[in-house]
Amino acid sequence: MTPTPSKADLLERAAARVALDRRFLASLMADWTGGDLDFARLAYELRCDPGCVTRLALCFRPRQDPAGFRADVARIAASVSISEACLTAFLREAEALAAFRKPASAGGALLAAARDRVEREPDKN
Amino acid sequence: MSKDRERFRLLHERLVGGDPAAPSELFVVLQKPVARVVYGRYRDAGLSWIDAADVATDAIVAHLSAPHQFKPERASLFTYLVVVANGDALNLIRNRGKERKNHAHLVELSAADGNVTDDEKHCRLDAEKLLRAHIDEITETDMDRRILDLMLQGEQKTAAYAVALGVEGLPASEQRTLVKQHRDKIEKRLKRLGERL
Repeated sequence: MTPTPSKADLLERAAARVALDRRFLASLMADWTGGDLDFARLAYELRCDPGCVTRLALCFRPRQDPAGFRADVARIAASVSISEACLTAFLREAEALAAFRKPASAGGALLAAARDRVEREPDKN
Repeated sequence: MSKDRERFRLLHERLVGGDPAAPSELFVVLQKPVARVVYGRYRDAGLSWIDAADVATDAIVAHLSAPHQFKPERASLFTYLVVVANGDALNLIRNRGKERKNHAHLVELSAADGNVTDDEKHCRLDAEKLLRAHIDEITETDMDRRILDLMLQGEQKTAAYAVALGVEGLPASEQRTLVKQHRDKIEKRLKRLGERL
């Protein structure tokens, strides 16, 4: 008789399955770990157990506007029992990493803007 | 209204209201129960627990894409998801039936060539020999051949395919998309070959 898989295993599989769907935090978390979801590594980074990581991965991404982001992060943190500060820091790092890895044309524009800003700084002497 | 149905109704309202944690709670509460019903119904037709979990996941994801299609006054969310998952399970079983027919056809052809196929391992190896005999119909480039080799080895890791495609430097999400596109292309050619032979 085939053993019944545990709920935790099935949820982990669901999280891996939705990692291609950009609506879910799973996609951002998979990007952060460099490809496939690494539950152990994420649990270490987020200072929580792997079950929390799974539940987090199955949440939708928070909104991008500052007020919406704060409200959504608070709801997510409360729902999956994770530190709001820890989650905020992780999401900001993961989003920044994802933005940095965007195609060269987007990165080139970012660098050009940075150079313009430096050139415009007033002469301090 | 039963306690469960009320609970599901509130969860649905949070989902429609844009609560980003609602999808996760939906999975926690409903994925395994839906999978259990689907498995119970279709296990004799060859559906595994993993298959049942996957169709339950896909049913929930489909619901998250169009939550307004569910009418709480007509049925409970659990019943609604079971109906969707049952439909997907049936399609999966039917598609597998077609794939098995194609594979058996490849093996029969191999046996007709004089290869002995008295166990599953020999069946797989002979099918691979047949595939290699028609390699030019399945693969157009060296990249296609590397992808086919990985598929025949049973490789599951995206990273391995990404290296074969030379896209390991791209963001993980783009790697996954490109790997899937190439794998799907090879699989379609394999199916067409099977149907033709």
